[in-house]
Amino acid sequence: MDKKTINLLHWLRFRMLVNGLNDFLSSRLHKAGVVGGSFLLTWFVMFFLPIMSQVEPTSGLTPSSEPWGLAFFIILALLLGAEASWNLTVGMHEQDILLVIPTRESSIAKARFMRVLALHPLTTLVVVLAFLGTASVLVKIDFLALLPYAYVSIFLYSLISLAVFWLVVGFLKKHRRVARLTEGVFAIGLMVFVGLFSWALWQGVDFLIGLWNQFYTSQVTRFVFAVPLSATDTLLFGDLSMRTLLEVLSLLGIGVVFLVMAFRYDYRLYESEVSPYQSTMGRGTERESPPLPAWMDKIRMALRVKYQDTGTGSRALFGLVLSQNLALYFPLGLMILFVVFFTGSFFSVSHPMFVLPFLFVMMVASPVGSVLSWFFGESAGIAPAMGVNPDVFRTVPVKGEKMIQILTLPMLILGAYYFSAVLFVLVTSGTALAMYFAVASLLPAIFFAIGYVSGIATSFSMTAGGFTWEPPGITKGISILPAVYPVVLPSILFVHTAIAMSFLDTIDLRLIVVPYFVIGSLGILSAYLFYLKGSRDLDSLRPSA
Amino acid sequence: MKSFRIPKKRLIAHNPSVPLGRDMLEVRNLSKSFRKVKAVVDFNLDVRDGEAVGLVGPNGSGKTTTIRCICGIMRPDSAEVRINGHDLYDEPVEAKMDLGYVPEIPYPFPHLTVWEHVMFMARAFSVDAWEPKAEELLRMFNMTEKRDELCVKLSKGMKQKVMLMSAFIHDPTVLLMDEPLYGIDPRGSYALKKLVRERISAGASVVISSHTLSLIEEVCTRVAIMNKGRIIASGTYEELRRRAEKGEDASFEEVFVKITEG
Repeated sequence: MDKKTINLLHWLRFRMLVNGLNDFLSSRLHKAGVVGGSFLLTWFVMFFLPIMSQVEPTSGLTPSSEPWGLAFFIILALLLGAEASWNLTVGMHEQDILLVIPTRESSIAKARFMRVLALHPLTTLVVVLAFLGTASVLVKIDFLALLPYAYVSIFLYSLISLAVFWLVVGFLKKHRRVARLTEGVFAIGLMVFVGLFSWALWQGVDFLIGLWNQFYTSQVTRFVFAVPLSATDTLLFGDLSMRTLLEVLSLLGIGVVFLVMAFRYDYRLYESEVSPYQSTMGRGTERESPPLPAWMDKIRMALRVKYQDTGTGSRALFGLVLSQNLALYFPLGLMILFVVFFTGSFFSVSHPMFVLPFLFVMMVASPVGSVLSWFFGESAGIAPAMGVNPDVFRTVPVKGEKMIQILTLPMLILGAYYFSAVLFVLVTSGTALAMYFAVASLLPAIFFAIGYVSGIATSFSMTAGGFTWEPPGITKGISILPAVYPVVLPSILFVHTAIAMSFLDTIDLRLIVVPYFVIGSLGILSAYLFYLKGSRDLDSLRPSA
Repeated sequence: MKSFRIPKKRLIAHNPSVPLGRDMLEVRNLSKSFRKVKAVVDFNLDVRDGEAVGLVGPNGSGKTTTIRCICGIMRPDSAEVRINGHDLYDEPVEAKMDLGYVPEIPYPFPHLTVWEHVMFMARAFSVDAWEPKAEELLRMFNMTEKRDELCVKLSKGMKQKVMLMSAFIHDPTVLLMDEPLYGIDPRGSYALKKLVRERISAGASVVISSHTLSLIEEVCTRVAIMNKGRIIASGTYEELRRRAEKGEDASFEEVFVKITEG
C-alpha cells in the first residue's frame, strides 16, 4: 500500500472536513440548526437514560425488561450506517486530480475503500454530538463500555459489505451485459423480497417469528450476524422473541442499507465509462440558477441539495427532494421521526394518530416519491442527493411536466391529511408532552409543505415562462439501482414500523401491507421499465463520431 | 489579415540549447471508444524536449479524451504511453511524477483553501521547499489575496488559476493542458504563457489543447489537427499551410478551417 498517498488523502479528507464544517458554521442559520440539534440530542439522551439503565451490563446487548433501550442503538446505528457509505466528497472531476498525482489507482481505490471513515460534515457533527451527549450522561455506568464494541462491530460489518461491493464493482465494470442483467435480477429480486415479506406479514407476526426460527433461517442469521453480535449468544442461539426479532431486523436493515448505499455508486461512472462530453454539458447546466425565491434557495443551500440540472421535472421535483432528503437522508429528520414513534410507543399512547406522521413518511411519501420521480423521468434533484449523476434520470421529460400537475393534487391532499392528523393529536391529547411531540413532528411536515409548494410554484412559473426542455445529449449511463434505492430504505424502516405497530395493536397490519406492496412493486417495476427505455433513449442520443 | 509567419515569441518556445532526439512524451496507437462512438482512433504523437505541440480540432474531435487518456485519467482501449521513458501503465508513479495536467474544466477540491490546494499538489509530487514557488505563483496569477479562500467560493477563472498553479508547482517536464485559458483574465493569460515558455526553455514537453488558436500560435511550434477522433494533419505551420494550399498571408484560423472542412 502506498502509505504516502493514503496519508495524503486522509489529510485531504480531514482538511476538507474541517474547512467544510467551519464554512457550514459560519452561517447563523446553520449555527441555530446546530444549537437546535444539540437540544434535541440532549433531550434524546435524557429520554433514553432511564431505559438504558435497565440494561444489564454483564449480559451484553441483551435487553432486560424493555426493548426500547436498543432503540438508541438502532437510531445511532442507522445514522452511522446511512452515512458510512457517503462518498469521499471527491466528485468525478476532483477525482481527476487524484488520478494524475504520482500514485497507483489502487492506492486511490484503497483510500476510497476507507471512506467509511469519511462522514458527511453535518452527519459527523450529529454523530459526535450524540457520542458526547451519551458519554456525558452515561459516564458513570458500565454500559458505556459496550458502546465502542457496538460501533466497532458496525464498522467491521460495513467493511465486509463494502468489500463485497468492490469485488462486484470490479467485475461489473468489465462486463456491461452482466451488469445490466444484474440490475434486472436485483430489481426482480427486490420485488420478490417485498412480495414474500408482505405475504409473511399478512400471515401474522407469529408466523413471521416461526419462519424466522426455522433451521435454515437461523443458520443464515447466525452467519450474517457472526461479527456484529458475537457476544449475544442468547440472541443467536435462543428462539427469537418478538422483541429480539425487532432488534435483529434492525441490524439486518443496517446491513442492507450498507449494501444498497454502496451499490448506489454507479460503477459505470467510474473511469473509463466517463464521457468527456458530460463535463461540458454539466458546465453548461450548472451555471443556471434555479428559478426559486431567494429564501427557498437558502433552504436548498442549507440542506446542501445541489441543483445541477435545469430540466422541467427536476425543478418541480425540487420539493420532493427536500422532503426526501429530510425523510431519508437527513439524519436529524430521521431521528425526529424515530423519537415521535418510539415515544408514542413508550408511553403506550396507542392512538393511531401518533404514529401517522412516521407512517406517512415511510409508507406513502417515499415510495410514492420514487414512483413520481420515474414518471417525471428526471429526478435530477433526487439524484444528487443520492450522489448520482442527475442526467441518468433524464429520459422521459415531457411526461413529467404534465404529470406533476396531475399528481400534485393528491399529494397535497395527503399532506393536508397529515397536518390534520397532527393537529388532531395536538388538540385531543392536551398534555404538554403530546404537544411537544406534535410540534416536533410538525418539523418534517413543514418541510414537506415547503417542498411541495416550491415544486408547484416552480412548475407553474416554468409553464408561464414558456420553458422548453433541451435534450441532454450524451449522458454517462443510467442505472436502476439508484432509482430503487428510495424504495429500499423506507422498506426496511417500514418493516420495523409495521411489526412494532402490530405488536402494539395499534393498527391492523394488513391495512399497511397491501398498499405498501402495491406501491413498492409499482415503483420498482416502473423504475425498471424506465430504465430499459432510458437505455435505448440514451443510446440514440449519442452522436456519431 | 493576420500574417501566418512564425511570431518571434514562438521562437522562445523551442530552446536550441536543449538537445533534441529523446522524446519526453510518446504516444502510440491510442484508441478509445464510448460504446459505438470511436472517440479517438489510432492516435500517435511524439513530443521532444523543449517542444510545445498544439492539439486543435472542432468540438467533439477527441482532444479532451486524448489528453485524459495520456495523463492516465481515462483508460484507453489500446495505447502505449511513455512519459520521460516511463510506461504510464507499467510505471505509473514514475511516469506521473514528471507530469503536469490542467483539466478542461477547473474543479479544484471545493473545501481546500487555495494555499492548501497548492500544498496538496506539492506534497503529492514530493516537492521540497515548495512555499517560495507557491508564493510566486500566487503573485503571478494575482491570487495572493485569495490565498486562504475556499476553492468552492472562487469564481470560474480563479478556480482555473488554482488548477494552473497546482499544475506548475512541481515544475513538470511533461505538461498537458486542456483549454488552459478557460475563464482566465489577461493578466492570468500573460502569466500562463510566461510559465509555459519557462518550462519549455527548461526542456519540458508541452501539449496544449485549445480552441484559442492565438495561444497555440504563440506558444507551440508544431500542431496536430484532430477531427472525428483522428489526426488529420500535423506539422509546423508552414507544413500545414502547404497542406491547406494557402498563401503565406493566410491566418492559422483559415488554415484550420480549410483543413477541417475537408
